Amino acid sequence: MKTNLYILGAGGISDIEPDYKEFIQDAGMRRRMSRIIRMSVASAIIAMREAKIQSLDAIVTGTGWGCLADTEKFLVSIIQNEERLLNPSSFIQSTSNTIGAQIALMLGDKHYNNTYVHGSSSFESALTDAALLAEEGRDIILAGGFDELTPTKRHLLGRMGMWRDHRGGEGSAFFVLAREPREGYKGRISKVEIFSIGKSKHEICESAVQEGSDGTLFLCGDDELCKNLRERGCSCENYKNLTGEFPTASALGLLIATEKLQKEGNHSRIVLLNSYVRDVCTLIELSV
Amino acid sequence: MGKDVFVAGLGCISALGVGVSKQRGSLLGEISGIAPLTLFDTIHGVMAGEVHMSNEDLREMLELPSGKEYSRTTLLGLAASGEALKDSGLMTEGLRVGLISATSVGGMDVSELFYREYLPDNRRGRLRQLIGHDCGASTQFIYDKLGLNGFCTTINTACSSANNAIMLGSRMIKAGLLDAVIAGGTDSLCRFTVNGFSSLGILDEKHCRPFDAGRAGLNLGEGAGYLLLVSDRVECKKIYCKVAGYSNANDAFHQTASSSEGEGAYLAMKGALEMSGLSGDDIGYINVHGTGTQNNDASEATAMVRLFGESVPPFSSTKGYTGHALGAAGGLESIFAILALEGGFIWPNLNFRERLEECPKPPQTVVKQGVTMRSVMTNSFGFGGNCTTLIFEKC
Repeated sequence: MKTNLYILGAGGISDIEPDYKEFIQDAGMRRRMSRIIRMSVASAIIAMREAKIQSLDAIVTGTGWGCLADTEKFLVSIIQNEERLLNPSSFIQSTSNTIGAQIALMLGDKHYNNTYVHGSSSFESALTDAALLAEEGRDIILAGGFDELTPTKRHLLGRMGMWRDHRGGEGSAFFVLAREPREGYKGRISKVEIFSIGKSKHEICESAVQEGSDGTLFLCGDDELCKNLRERGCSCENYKNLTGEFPTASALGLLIATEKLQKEGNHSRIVLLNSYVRDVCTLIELSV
Repeated sequence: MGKDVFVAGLGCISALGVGVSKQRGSLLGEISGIAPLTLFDTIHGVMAGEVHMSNEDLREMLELPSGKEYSRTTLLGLAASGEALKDSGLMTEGLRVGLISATSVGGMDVSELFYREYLPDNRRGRLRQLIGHDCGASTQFIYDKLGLNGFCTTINTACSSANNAIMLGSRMIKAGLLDAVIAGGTDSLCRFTVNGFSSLGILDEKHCRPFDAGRAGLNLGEGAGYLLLVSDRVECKKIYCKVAGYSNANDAFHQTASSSEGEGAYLAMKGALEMSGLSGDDIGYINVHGTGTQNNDASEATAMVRLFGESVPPFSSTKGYTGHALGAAGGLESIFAILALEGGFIWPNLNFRERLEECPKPPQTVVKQGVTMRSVMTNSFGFGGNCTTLIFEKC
């Protein structure tokens, strides 16, 4: 869908984790949070600080794998303790909307809060919701995507043959989005699209270049898409060399795109094309 | 914007049976579907609202090929969403028909089996048991099976998930992004949630007693419930009602507990009511979240009194019939609310004895028939303070 979401602030964490004390002052809260919660909450705070925004009108998040570490911890405890005397903490934090909820709790935010869990289009689903919310008149929306690669997930995906062609990744990225442009905005999300599952990569590239490719940088998460676009004479980079592969890598991709749009200055438009294993392809268009 | 959204099809499977007519029959007959858990072994002697069909029976009913691994969530979801599509008689050709499905456990029932093999020896465990683990997998499977072509996504906000799916579906139709959408939720019972709620100490070992002063917790349930929603430019053989209002608000109080003043619940009900343009008196029935836990029912009752004052509409929790079906609860209960609106029924709140201090008005305790009402409300509240209210209005 076409939209106009102005990025006021963006924050993300992938391989290098910061000192979380700076973001989550409450030591007890910090300790209780699993790694993915800490990463994501800190990313959201970075984005909000950059945007100089204290309050929100909505929070939307997306995750492909959910809060894996807590899910696994609780599952292991059920088996090992033979269902006896289980600690509920990991169960409580295992649900995918924990992060959106924790952010709301920290901010005392009582507005709309939703979480999407649809594989590699989870983040794009959240952005679609953000676009709708803006159309409905909400001014400031926080949107984020996150996934954690636990040792077990890494091992299981390895057994499935994933690492023959892909490098593992994880991370979180959050964006403060505004319905109207504000001074110093970093870019504008002008389109979000989730292609149907049967669409070939050739057809997807065809559709991506439909509106021309002058001044456009294509950021792809996939060599096949890159190759196809380069053959069409497009300027193209593979962002997953930086992020690695995971369902919401496109959220970090959008962060990279936002930085490139600002710093490099030679592109007026960045099209982020994403694909993840056998899942759907998605497109996010970022304009100046 | 501003297009009206109508309910044109219903599909449901729960402890009350397979199909919408079975639900109506059990609700009218005051027959609870809750009984001791039999689906899997657990040390917890719990009561649950099971769908009384094995996975194999469900697979056969759905005419799916054997020899493949299907999560129970997927099977339940396909049964109910398929019924909703069939019920509407919608000719999907030339229309953008989406699927917005909610689930909180996804394929956990099958992942649990895998993990038992994998944990002692990480070379073991059948990998295909993990294919359906992610929440989105059940949705994508249903979408493909039903041959849909519009927007498809999955929502997980724990126990309010299905209401959020119905809300998003309505918003997408209003925005002109879809012509029709199947929206609702599906969740199956599994060890993970039985142990999770048990570890929180909020499972009642007997039949749950929502909104009763002596309530001792919830019974878990399972099932799936979907609405087929259409825009006003889609012709359908039958229109049940209009989606008149919806609102999602956050309690911002605690990850699992609800605030004593019921702030999230109050804001969700208030938001939906304001959007609908209806007054409190126009609400003929509220299907409350009413899980039967101390905390939820007190908080929800407080919120109702805050919003409606002395004239709280007739209300009941139907969780004494089905148990708490988590991510599917909003789907089941939206259907129960719509059946109430359609037939002029007010469903009873089973096992009620003594009213709450927080709420001067007791819930409806016997089936009431022949009630004239303009609209109904249904609440679903989830972990993380996620509160969503829907209002359906006759048209």
